[in-house]
Amino acid sequence: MLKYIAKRLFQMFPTVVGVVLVTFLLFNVVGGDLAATALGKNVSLQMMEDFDAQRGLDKPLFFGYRAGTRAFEDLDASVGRGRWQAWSNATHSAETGTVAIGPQTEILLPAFALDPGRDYEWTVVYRGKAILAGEALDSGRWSRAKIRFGGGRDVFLQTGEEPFELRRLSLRKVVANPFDSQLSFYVRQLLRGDLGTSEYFKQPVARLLADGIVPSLKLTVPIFFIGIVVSVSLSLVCAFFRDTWLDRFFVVLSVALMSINYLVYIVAGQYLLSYKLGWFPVWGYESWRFLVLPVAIGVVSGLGANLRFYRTIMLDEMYKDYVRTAFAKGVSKPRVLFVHVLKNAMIPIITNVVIAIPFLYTGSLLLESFFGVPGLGYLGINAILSSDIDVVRALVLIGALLFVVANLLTDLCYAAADPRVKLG
Amino acid sequence: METEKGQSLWGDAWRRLKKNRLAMACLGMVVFFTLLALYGEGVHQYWKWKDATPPFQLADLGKAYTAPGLHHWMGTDGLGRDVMSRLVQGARIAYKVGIVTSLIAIPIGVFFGCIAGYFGGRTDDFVVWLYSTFASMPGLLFILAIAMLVGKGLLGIYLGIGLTTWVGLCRLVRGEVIKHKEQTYVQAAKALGLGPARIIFLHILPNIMHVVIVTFTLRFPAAVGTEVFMSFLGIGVQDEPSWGLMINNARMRLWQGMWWEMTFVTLAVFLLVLAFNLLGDALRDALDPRLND
Amino acid sequence: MTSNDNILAVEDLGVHFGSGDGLVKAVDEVSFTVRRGETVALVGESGSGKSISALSLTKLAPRAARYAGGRILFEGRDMLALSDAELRRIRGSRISYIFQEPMASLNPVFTIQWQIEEAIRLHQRGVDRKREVARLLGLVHLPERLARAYPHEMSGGQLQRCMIAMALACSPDLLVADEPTTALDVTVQREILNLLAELGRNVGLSILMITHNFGIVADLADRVYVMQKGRIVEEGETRQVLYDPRAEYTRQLMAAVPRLHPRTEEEQ
Repeated sequence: MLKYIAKRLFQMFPTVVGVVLVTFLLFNVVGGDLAATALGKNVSLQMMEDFDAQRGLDKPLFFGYRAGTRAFEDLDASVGRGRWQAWSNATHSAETGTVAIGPQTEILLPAFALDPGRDYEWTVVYRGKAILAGEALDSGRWSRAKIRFGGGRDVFLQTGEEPFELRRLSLRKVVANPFDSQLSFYVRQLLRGDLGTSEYFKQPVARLLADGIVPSLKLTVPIFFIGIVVSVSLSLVCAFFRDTWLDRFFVVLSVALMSINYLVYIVAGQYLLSYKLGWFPVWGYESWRFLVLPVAIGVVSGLGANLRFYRTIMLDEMYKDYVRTAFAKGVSKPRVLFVHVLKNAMIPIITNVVIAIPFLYTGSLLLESFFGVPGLGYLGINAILSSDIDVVRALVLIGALLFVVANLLTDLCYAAADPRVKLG
Repeated sequence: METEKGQSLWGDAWRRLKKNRLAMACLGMVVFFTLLALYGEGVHQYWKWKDATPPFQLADLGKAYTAPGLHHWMGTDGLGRDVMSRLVQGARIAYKVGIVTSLIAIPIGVFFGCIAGYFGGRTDDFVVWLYSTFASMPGLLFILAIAMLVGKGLLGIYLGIGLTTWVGLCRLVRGEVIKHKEQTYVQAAKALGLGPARIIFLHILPNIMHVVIVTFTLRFPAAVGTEVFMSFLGIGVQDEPSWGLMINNARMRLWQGMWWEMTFVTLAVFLLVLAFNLLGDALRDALDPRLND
Repeated sequence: MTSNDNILAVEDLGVHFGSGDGLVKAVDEVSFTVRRGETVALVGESGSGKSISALSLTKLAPRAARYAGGRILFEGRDMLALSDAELRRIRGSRISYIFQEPMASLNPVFTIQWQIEEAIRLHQRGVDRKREVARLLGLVHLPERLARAYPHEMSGGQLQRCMIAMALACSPDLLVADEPTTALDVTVQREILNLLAELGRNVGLSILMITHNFGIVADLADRVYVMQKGRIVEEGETRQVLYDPRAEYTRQLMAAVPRLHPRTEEEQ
């Protein structure tokens, strides 16, 4: 058994890597400018730079010697990109694709003070004479230069009497260790057990998750267990009365329950049962009474799909040869169902049940926000609505990792429940 | 029991389906909603062409909260807009979401499933790794995260749903291709020297098309449900009358006794999803020869 | 011999499926008898209704089946008229079954010990079940240690022996063997047939053998009934039917070389 567990743990590894990689790609690559998403429009570049630095977003993506900085937006005169409008004495010509800077001009280039602790590098394509970051540029023809300098002092572009034209100008951070990338930052952060800091709450995400898990479990654990008991019992009823009106009724019921949108359960339940009939409190998280309705809605909304699934399993088993053998031995129908069939059906049922465990953690996104249960679902919805990126990423990541673990548990349960599974 | 031999799988399936009265009723419902969505698209395009705000978007506070009656069969909402025309537009959005997400998810799922099943080995390992990774992602939360990062609106919905739902299909197609790979007609095609792309897409794929169709029928309502959910939360459709937005609006009014908008919208969602679910089940039964007896 | 020796007498039994245009008479006015200590074979190709007839003896036919007339007299009592509880007391204790696929017929998640014990527990009180299981396994020439095994840990031949041991648990009067060797290797088939012949001789068991294989008939059966499309087309002493078959169908069946006969699933 130990050997089997070790083997499965080993097989789990690629999926874990995949999960980490997918969350990384989703947020750091697909996500685009996370600082802009998270902070909104009206923030200074300095704040965005700090946001990036805190999350390692100011590093190269996978590998590299240079990394971007928000201190200077790349200038590309051929397409008119850059902030040359803000410079004094600068004129852009679309025909030639150049920015010309008048004589005796001094322009402060970076938008904010550069980090004195590190090196930066200008890349410039120019013609004429000027001084950039203390280095003299002088060329009659278009030429390209790289100027490396330390941060910690103001960086100017100064022209003398002679004309100076620019085609391109860009500023990069020099990265000492090319492996010090966003990916390695993310991985190291995870290995430390650091889930980041919520921009919205200004708190470590781990704290928020720890606070939310208990209310979530109070809601999801009852839903989970009541749901299993109800749907498995009903599926046994279906199997017992198969091909009768009762069975058909449950089949139709389960499809109908499945087809009702989750929202409708919540809205209708809250309106009819809480507001109209006053059976339950409408909103809040004070005593167990506040949980009754959300739990009931959680159970009912999951019932359709589960009942259908379990019924199919039970009926599949009912048609197997060993059932005929049991009947031929003189076993009664209830005993065939509850002993012979159920023990066999337990195998797929366990699989279905264990795989649902991550849901306990993620919480019910909507139920919690609608009934005011301060759990992880509530946190998650709010984080998505307020673009609290670190919280969303942590929830997705942990949800996925729990699923991987649940998968492992499923296999172990499977091995324990089914004598046919060979270990090793 | 014996069945008459049909000309083809599809002919057989259609005969079986025709006998299932519930399935035919669902098919009728699906056709009805499809026509509704097409009509909605027509109206939408008309107003776009006229470059005017369509009436179902125009607020007319004088007519707000009209109960269902002769002029407005399904009443009006809080801004005096006709619920029925908004409902039709909602059907249009729902179909758009169902179709576009399928157009994203099905090709991905079929392509990866086919190459994994056919080539096996490293390719298979890679695809299995890819879909186990995606299968591990916590469903709705992952979709919402994608939508959050891509930005509010239909694009977020399309990508969120489309990029997460190919996994199940991929798994099914892979299994089917593995089964078909060993069959004589594939071996014969190989012996003729046909290339793998030709064998997979011209010979095997038509034979497993029923898996794709059943998956589409069952995935469609799920996508619609997710869209309603996302729009309801405010990260989906922004300024078009989506069912989710309508439910969100109607929720507040419901407490003041305006029952009609909520009732008709939820009924529409329910009927569409139910029809697709039942039809999908019936199709699966009709197309799966293993269940014949 | 007189009819009082009949342990089983089936008279004009009809078992139908479906209705209207889809009506299928799987068993159509079938009559046959089994005497005490006798081995009777019911022969026919798949779909001839022989398995349904056998299952109908204790009303085990699939749910869709309708019993449409006739009587099944087991020791003088009409099985079709018995209540469920009375039928359960007979199943497994007076009439036992063994089936075609031993691997599928045994419950995969219980040990052999458990499954045989269950058969004993259902019908007998005050028996030392452990010793009884050991005795039964001995009867079918299986080592006692196999009692602790699960079905998947055993071979097809061993499993069919377990089925037989389970069937014999309460010393039944009639053993119905539904294609007991069809799913087994040729060499194992021989062993199982020998075992059945031996039990027929030593225990005085009546056996109703359902088969499509005339080789088995020749080896084992005292009398034979040939079924085609739900009806009995020929009956008689085994020798007489083998040497002088009257029905054309019987001749065709015998001409079909059994070993090359494709293994077919019994129709439901």
